[in-house]
Amino acid sequence: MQIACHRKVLGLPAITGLFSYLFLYGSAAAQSGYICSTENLDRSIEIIQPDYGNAVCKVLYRKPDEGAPDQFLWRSNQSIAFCEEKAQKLVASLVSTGFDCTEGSLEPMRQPAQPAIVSNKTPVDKIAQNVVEPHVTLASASSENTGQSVPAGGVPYQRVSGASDMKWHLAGYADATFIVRDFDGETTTDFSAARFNPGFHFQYKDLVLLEAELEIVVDGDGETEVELEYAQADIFLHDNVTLVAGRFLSPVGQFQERLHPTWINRLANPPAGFGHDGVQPTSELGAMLRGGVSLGSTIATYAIAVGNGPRVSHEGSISFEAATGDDNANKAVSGRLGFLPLPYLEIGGSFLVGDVTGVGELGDGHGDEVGAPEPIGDMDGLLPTSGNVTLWGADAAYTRGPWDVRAEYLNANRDMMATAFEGSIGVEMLPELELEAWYAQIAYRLSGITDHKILQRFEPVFRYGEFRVMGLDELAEEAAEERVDVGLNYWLAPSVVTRGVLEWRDFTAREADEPSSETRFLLQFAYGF
Amino acid sequence: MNKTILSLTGAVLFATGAVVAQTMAQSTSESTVAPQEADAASVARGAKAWTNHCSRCHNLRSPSELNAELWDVSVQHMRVRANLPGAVADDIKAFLMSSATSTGVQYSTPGQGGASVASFAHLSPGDPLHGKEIYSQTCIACHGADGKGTISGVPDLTAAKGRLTKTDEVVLTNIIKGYQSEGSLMAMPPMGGNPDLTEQDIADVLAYLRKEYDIAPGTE
Ligand code: HEC
Ligand code: HEC
Repeated sequence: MQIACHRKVLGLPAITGLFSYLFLYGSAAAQSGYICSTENLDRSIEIIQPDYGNAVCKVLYRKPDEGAPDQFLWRSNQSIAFCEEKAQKLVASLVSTGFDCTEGSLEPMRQPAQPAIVSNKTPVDKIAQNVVEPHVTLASASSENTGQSVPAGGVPYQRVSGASDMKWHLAGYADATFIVRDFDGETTTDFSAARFNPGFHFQYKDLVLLEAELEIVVDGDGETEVELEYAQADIFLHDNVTLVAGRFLSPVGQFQERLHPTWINRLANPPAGFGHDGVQPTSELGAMLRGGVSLGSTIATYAIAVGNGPRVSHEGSISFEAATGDDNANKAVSGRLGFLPLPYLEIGGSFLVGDVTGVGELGDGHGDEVGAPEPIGDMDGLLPTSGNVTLWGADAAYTRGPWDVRAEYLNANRDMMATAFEGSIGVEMLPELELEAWYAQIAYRLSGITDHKILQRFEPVFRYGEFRVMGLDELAEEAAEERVDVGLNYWLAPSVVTRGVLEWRDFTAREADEPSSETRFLLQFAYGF
Repeated sequence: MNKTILSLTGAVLFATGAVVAQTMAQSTSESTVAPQEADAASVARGAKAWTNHCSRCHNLRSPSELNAELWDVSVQHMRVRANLPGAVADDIKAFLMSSATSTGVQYSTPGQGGASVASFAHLSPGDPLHGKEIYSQTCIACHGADGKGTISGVPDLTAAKGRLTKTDEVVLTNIIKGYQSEGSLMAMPPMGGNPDLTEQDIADVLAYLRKEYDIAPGTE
């Protein structure tokens, strides 16, 4: 209001009158200014006194007739005199180039920048509050019906949070992979799979986010499979606590929850033991509490989940994929604690404890049949029993600048138990089972050493990993392996990549006379949207 | 045996959830106001938090990729995935939403068709001291304390044959209106995403950069 004392409040017709009224009583800003005109165009220089931010005054330069964006030229945190002085200098320089200047102000004629973003339902005062530039209040007040914030400065700026209660977003990823394989002296090539994973996010205010993702895969035989990756409600209870309910990706470890989408993963496939049927829990059905706390400039994070937990897989191993029915009354508890001693270094520890219950006979053979199986004894009278499952893991990630370095270890143990499995004769006793997998991976983006337009998009990657199975020979022969990957990514955009990967696999538990090594070349295109 | 323990843990977890939900209902509805009150300080903190947290799992995605409303949802999504405290997520939202709504992203080089180069004759000569202050509040998040850039896609401003060899008008226009060079993976948000800066502030930063790295204009 101070400025009204310094300068005469503008005395132009109706609109200006309304404005002065608003400036004086609407507590938004006070203003004075000049209109500089030539024969066919007007410019204005206005001194604005924001009631927001640090500035006591700003000088707004507008050239609406020239279609130029409004500009804030100067600002002072201390004195209005500064803005006045600058404004007068600018006026003087315009006069010297043939403009005619008088005190006054142009009618606001600003156009909304992105009308689609702000819903008409939004109360004007809500938006006005959210916008940094004070004249927005004026503009919206003078065009009540638009209810839109109107950017005017060099930085058109608006807050849309609170604009509408419900917002949504379609995201996800897609990829296509081509594989050339050399196994047992035979070379095969195929388009292994094309995948499209649309994800849907619905947000209600800052209270709830619903997220769901489908996985649609066309495999080599042209069969299409649709699966629900996850469908969960995230309820924001507190700054540091979010409650998640539904089917969600397992928080155990770092690969599954964070890296498995192909536009994120630096290589074309998961590390050995980290895909489906590995030691990495993939999904869980239940509830989870998670969040993080700031510790100075770093944060510590947690996620703890209760869910149906693992089941016996058809090979007699452990299936860590969420199922709709629990195979026993016990819930599994799992989680991860993460700590970032530095913003670019994260260290995590994970665990899972639960039970698996043996089955009397195989369902559809995938270990994912719905509902608790009937425990049926076989002829020897051996009844299926339960076994405890305990899993622990550690992971680390260093992601500074062009570096992306990661390592992860997971170890799962299952007690001795009795169950039927593929190839068993009725219910059999299975010894203790141990699954173990780890990998270390290093990637470096060449942007770290060159600004060259093409070269900086390349990223060489190296990964070594192992998967070990102890206590179940059939599975060991099939899946235990050492895997080396060397790849080159070419980033078309931060989430669009083409990569070529050379992979050597050595199956470590095969009989001496069986072929045990495979070389593959994978060409992949991945797109995150 | 440990069945009971597990069920108990489960029960306790749910109970905790419910209690927390109850007691926090109040503060949650209050905290929904937070992002709306976002100010320049929040934007500055957000820029820093964005470079720190949003490159932990995947490449930083350019602020120009989504519009403000989509960033609102996406950052909320990422808040869950990355276990970010709400306040940190709100800062990041403030930064991304203000960078995204400042629609000035251009795909052409100013002066070469497309966008025009503005005139800055009205500005006072840049004040490098003040410019340094601005730089270390706003620009540092992406360009780094040493000007070489902290994230992929940010050019080395110190390079002798680099970006600062362009004329003052071109560089100022690019910083003020925002800029994405042909084929670049990351956009420079208008005013570095900080809504509180003025053109004079930018002229001051440029003066600071020229002085600090000793690169004269127009030596392209
Ligand atoms: C903990 C790892 C992690 C961190 C940290 C992270 N992201 Fe993500 N981000 C992901 C994953 C995983 C996806 C893929 C989600 C999916 O497809 O289910 C993703 C997806 C995205 C997408 C695509 C759209 C969407 O919402 O799915 C955007 C945009 C994005 N992230 C931005 C960000 C921003 C901004 C930040 C910083 C606040 C961030 N990310 C931090 C893991 C992370
Ligand atoms: C969000 C990250 C970010 C922030 C914050 C940021 N910049 Fe940038 N800046 C970029 C990126 C990315 C580019 C490269 C854009 C391109 O070439 O496509 C860039 C380019 C530039 C250039 C070169 C422009 C040209 O014409 O080639 C200058 C100069 C510059 N920035 C100065 C600044 C100043 C001054 C600030 C603070 C007010 C700032 N930047 C804040 C990301 C940022």
